Amino acid sequence: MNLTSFKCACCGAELRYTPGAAKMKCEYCQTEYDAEAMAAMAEADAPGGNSFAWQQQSTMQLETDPDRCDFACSSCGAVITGDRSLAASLCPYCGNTVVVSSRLEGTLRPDYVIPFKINKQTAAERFRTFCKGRPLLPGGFITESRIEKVEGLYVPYWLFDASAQGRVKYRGERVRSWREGNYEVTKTDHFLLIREGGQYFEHVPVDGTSKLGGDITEAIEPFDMTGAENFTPAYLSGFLADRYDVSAEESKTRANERIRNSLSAALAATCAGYAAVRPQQENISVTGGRISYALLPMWLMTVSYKGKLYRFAMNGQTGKFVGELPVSEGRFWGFFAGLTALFSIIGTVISSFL
Amino acid sequence: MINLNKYPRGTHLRRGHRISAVLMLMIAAVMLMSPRVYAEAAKKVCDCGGLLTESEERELEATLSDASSETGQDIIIYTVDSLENHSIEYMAETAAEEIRAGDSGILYIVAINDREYDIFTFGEMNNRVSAYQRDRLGEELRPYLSSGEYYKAFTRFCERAEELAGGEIYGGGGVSGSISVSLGGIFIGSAVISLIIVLVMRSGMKTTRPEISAGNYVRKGSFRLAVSRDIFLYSSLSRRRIDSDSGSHRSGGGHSSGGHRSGGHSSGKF
Repeated sequence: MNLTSFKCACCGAELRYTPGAAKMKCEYCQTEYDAEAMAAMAEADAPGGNSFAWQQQSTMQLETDPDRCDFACSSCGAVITGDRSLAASLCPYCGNTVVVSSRLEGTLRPDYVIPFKINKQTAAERFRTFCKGRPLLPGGFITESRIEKVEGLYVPYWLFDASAQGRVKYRGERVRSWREGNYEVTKTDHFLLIREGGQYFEHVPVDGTSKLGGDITEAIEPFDMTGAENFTPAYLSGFLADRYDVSAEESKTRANERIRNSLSAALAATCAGYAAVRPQQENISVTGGRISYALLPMWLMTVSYKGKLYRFAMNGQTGKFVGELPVSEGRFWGFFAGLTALFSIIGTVISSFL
Repeated sequence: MINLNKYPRGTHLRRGHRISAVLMLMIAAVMLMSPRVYAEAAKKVCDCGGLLTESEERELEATLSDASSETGQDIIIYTVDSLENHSIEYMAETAAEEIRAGDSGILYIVAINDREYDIFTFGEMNNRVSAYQRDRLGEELRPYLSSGEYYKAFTRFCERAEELAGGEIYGGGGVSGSISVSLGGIFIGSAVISLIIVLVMRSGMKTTRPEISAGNYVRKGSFRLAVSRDIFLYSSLSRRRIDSDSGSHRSGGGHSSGGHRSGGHSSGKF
């Protein structure tokens, strides 16, 4: 197995990618390296090049469990255990970043990577901001909860480029009412609406990992693909990364579903001027899809509160924060009772004037 | 690991919040359960038209006083000789003022020379009694007036007014006019609205939801609408009756007829 770690040319210490600065930085001598330049130099110098070269080495794998594998840290030699989709990790003993290069090569090599723009401290601050203004949050959650773990994770995504064409038939109604003596007359005009059109989609992301679940990986969207870079392992330094374990073929269904929904909504929006519009028949096809593979940044946070763990996630590029906060049942019913009392008073006052 | 324990403890706030919620609930409960106090007219029967004997007037006065106390609504009977070129509605409102009727109640006025009657509801009673119910009551009493059985008409009026105050007859809201809004209805409506609000607040605690569409990834300006046809199929017509006016009736709700107080009227001839 090929492992890669990044060492400073000046002092030989661990190099880590610095979010926002788009540089690799030595935490000891503060020397900074451009990620792309470093990767280019590594290619030119390998193998047996100078200190900028990727340090690759073969290690013995212990294949006892088919779902897991062990490999040795290139810095301290400690044995690190990970699952088969692990592409980059941190050595728990020396903190060295280990990139499993063999899991990022060939068909496993990502086409793009969006580097982290937001750092770990910002992620923790966003968590506090996220908790503010939540009246149903248990009173002690902010003060008593502890952020157990904040991990920068590159999540594998499949990006779909596709053209969608659709023809949809709707039934539309226009309603007019007027008064004739003691009667209110309502006239409803019924229409058949036909809409046909198309739309082009670029980089629709569908997560290629089964570990996180679509609710989190889609909730942190959107990603701005103009900030994507061609993949180089240097961006993974200091972060965790997974390779895909859900194939592009398997992910197509989800991409098609989202694309279909978008075109359907766009066509429905053209049916203006009707009191009611109901779809009758819908034919939407998605064609000519190009699929690329990308690693997209996510901060994954684990917070413990009263012995229970809560997971939150943040888009490492845009800072969008998502998660599920606990609900205080006491506050829930307290608000319910308070609002009911308030509305009852208002209702009684209003009805007394009618 | 980052410790967030730098914030002050908020236990007292939580307790305070619960207490305020309980207090609000108690206020609402007390408001909904406690009997409402009404001002009442001192005299319930004013027989200026001379349709009743003294004993009948006394008995009726006692019956109406009891009914008014029980229902919390002023139930009044007023007779006059003539309308003196005024409308019966105007006379009813003037009579209510003259007799110093309370804030809420029902008044039955009969003008003997003009052979006209009016049932006038005002205050909360006007919310409880719909135009349909007033009309039905007027229709029910009309034969007694036509046949000169005034005392019978008035005692029946008293019974029916008592039932109307309790919402027991003529099927509540009826087909037209004002909607009777009960306090129970307000409470249930408030509870439903509140439940919706707190459920929306609760759903806001979870922001991990899958995306429905791919709208964020549409190439700018790529949407093309090739066909857009609107084909007319047919029309349908429906009619709904708004009000029920018949023969010698006229009714109206929530207005004043140029008199002194607003309310609903149902009047007619006998």
